[in-house]
Amino acid sequence: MGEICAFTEEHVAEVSALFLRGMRGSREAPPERLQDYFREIFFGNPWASPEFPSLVYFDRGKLVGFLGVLPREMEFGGRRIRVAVTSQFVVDREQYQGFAAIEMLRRYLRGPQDLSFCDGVGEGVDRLWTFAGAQASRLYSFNWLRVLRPAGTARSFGGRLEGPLGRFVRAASVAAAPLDFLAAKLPHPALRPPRSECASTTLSVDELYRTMQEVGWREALKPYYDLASFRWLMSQVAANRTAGDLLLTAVHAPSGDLCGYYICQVQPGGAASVMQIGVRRHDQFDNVAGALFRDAWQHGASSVKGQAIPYALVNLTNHYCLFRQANTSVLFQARDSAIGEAILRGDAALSRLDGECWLRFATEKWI
Amino acid sequence: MDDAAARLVKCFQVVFPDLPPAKIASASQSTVETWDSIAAVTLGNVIEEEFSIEMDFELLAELNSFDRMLAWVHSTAKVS
Repeated sequence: MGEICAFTEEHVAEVSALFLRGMRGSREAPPERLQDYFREIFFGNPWASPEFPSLVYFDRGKLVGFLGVLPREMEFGGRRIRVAVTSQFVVDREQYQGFAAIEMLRRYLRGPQDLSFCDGVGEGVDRLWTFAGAQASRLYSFNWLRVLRPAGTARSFGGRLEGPLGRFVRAASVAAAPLDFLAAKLPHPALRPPRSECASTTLSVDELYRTMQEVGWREALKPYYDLASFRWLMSQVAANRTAGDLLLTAVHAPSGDLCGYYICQVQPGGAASVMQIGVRRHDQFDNVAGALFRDAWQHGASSVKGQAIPYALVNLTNHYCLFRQANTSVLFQARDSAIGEAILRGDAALSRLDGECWLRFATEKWI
Repeated sequence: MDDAAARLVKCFQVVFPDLPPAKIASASQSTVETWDSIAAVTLGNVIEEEFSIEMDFELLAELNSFDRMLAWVHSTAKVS
């Protein structure tokens, strides 16, 4: 058995190299900006606390494992709870043979957090977590997709394919724009440009924060942000340029009443990724979603995608969204069973801002 | 080889298909290169289903050889 230690700044270079080996299959030296990113995320975040350390694993003096931990705060039943989100769980399988992952996960789950949480977990780690007693929320693991431009969507998905099919899709992609132009003329509302009578207003981060406080959440489990930590979080989201332009938008009904807001990243010609949707009342969801789809269309997005919102599954279906179970899972272990029950019944305001989906480790081209 | 051992061998074959059958009875985490954390959990799941027993996550790292696993199965499951 090796030794588990708290991750400190002196480990950053080795952990960055481990990340490149384990996640990217690269033996290149880690660039300075990757190391800076590890420092910023794990030591510069506004929730950083020695109570919730990230973990490193040493085998005979060599660093062979890392489990990133981000403390967060949420509210449940009127009280503040402490959440420990995991990210970048990696073990060097070339240089190490053993149970480092089991031992690190065991140490993490014994921490003082009320809720252990991760939302970007692949099959292997999913198995580890559930064996350790965690639960998978299949409901929050669903993603939805609203196709705006069918040919453009096929191009952006098919462009990632390798082999002859990928080459065919890339070669055919020049036809995507004319095909979508023609599709938008067809008399079916799923193909026509989305319309909404609601008004969208671009917000600053501070304005968005005030709007979120005004709108609030009605779920039993809800995120808690203070202004300083929310500014930091949004600066991190905005820095993810590969996800596109960040839209922070309030949506008002024709009467002028505030319906809600959305936070979304849009790639012209690609997907718009919804980070969070908030509504004053659930019956106003359609107004916010309609404005979102219209705005995404106007920004040139080929599709809009997001994480399942349990109370709005019917609304999303009515907006022609498709649902798919992603190959990553939302997993959790709650100290108070009532918290776990709230998640399982869909009574939790979980969004892509609350786990690890806003991080750039997976999306950035580091080397 | 008793019935439990024979069934345990089959569990190992599911998780470690490249491991020669003759070497399973002497297998341990240090001799099987692919026996990492995820393989251990997968093996745990297969054994739980095969013997209708529950394995504690805390035990998983200690059950790091065929012999230890077999001893645990004997002590936990109602098998011959």
